[in-house]
Amino acid sequence: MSDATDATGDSSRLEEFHQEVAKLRATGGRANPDRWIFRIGLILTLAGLAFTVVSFILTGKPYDTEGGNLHQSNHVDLVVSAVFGLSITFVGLVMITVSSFKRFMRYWLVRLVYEYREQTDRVVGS
Amino acid sequence: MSAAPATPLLELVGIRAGYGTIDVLHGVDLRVMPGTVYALLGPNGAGKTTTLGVTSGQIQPHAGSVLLDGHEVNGVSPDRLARAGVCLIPEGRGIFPNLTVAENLRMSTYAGVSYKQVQERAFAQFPRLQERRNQLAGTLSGGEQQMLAMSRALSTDPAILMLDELSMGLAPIIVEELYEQVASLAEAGLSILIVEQFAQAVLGVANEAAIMLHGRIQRTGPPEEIAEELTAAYLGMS
Repeated sequence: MSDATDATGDSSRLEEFHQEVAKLRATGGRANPDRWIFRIGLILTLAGLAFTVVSFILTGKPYDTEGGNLHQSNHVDLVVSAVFGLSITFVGLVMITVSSFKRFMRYWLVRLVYEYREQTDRVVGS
Repeated sequence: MSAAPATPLLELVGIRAGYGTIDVLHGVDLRVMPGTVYALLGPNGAGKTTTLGVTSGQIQPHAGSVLLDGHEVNGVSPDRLARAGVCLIPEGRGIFPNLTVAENLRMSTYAGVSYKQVQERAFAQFPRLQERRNQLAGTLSGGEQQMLAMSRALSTDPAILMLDELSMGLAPIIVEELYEQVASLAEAGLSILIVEQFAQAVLGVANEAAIMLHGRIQRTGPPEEIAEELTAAYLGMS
């Protein structure tokens, strides 16, 4: 096939298009994965921090106020909770960083394309 | 050409879309039948480019449906639509100015078409590009850049071609030449949606035309009827 018109006018191309379109899945038009990743990351970070801080504060009170005995098992549980909170915070921060970096890279790419175009226009114009 | 099925290849139903919280399109309906040229006309700021943005998946509508071959594709990413066969040539042509013509053509091999085939198609359609194959695309004339943009689009074997302001910044003789190509593509069965501010050339090749004002389709009909009403519509007299 040497001519594009042959390709586009072919009814088999239309048939192929019907099949391609049938495979596409509509998402409702409101999908913005980056924004959702950022929001979920923010929620995880805040929740993780709160979890860690509360656990940390509670580990400072390991004694039974009545008997004055150290409850070793409670202490370990609270340390585990604090570490879990830190892990959640870490995951949240990674999600925020990834979504922010993707957004920045997109902006950077658009700017680069624009600057190249401006530069070429200047060279051609001079 | 085989008989056209009744289902439009591209249909917009009640599309409301815009940027952020501001709506630019206020309920746009249009239908492009297979193998036809649909001309969307209107002054600057009417919402024509936004309509193409919605159709190509770059802008998500706030309401309404985008249908391809009767199948709703709201929210499908632009690259998936492009791979399926929805091709947009944007205003400003969207070529890589710092790459040569040959390198620009090589960039359109993403659709699985070989570089050799891409070149064959491009040079058969626009022989002038063959003479300029080692020239930087940014140093081509406006008409040649538009030819390069069209050949890149056609090399991906699209089912629907959308052209944004094909005639922008070009001499009338070049515009005429490009519209001859558009007419031949339509004759071969390609469905084309053209957005234009300057109407005369496009009405000569269109099967159906519409006037868009303030984010709404004001009038749809045969090109001859639209041509008569265009001046009044542009001047806000209709």
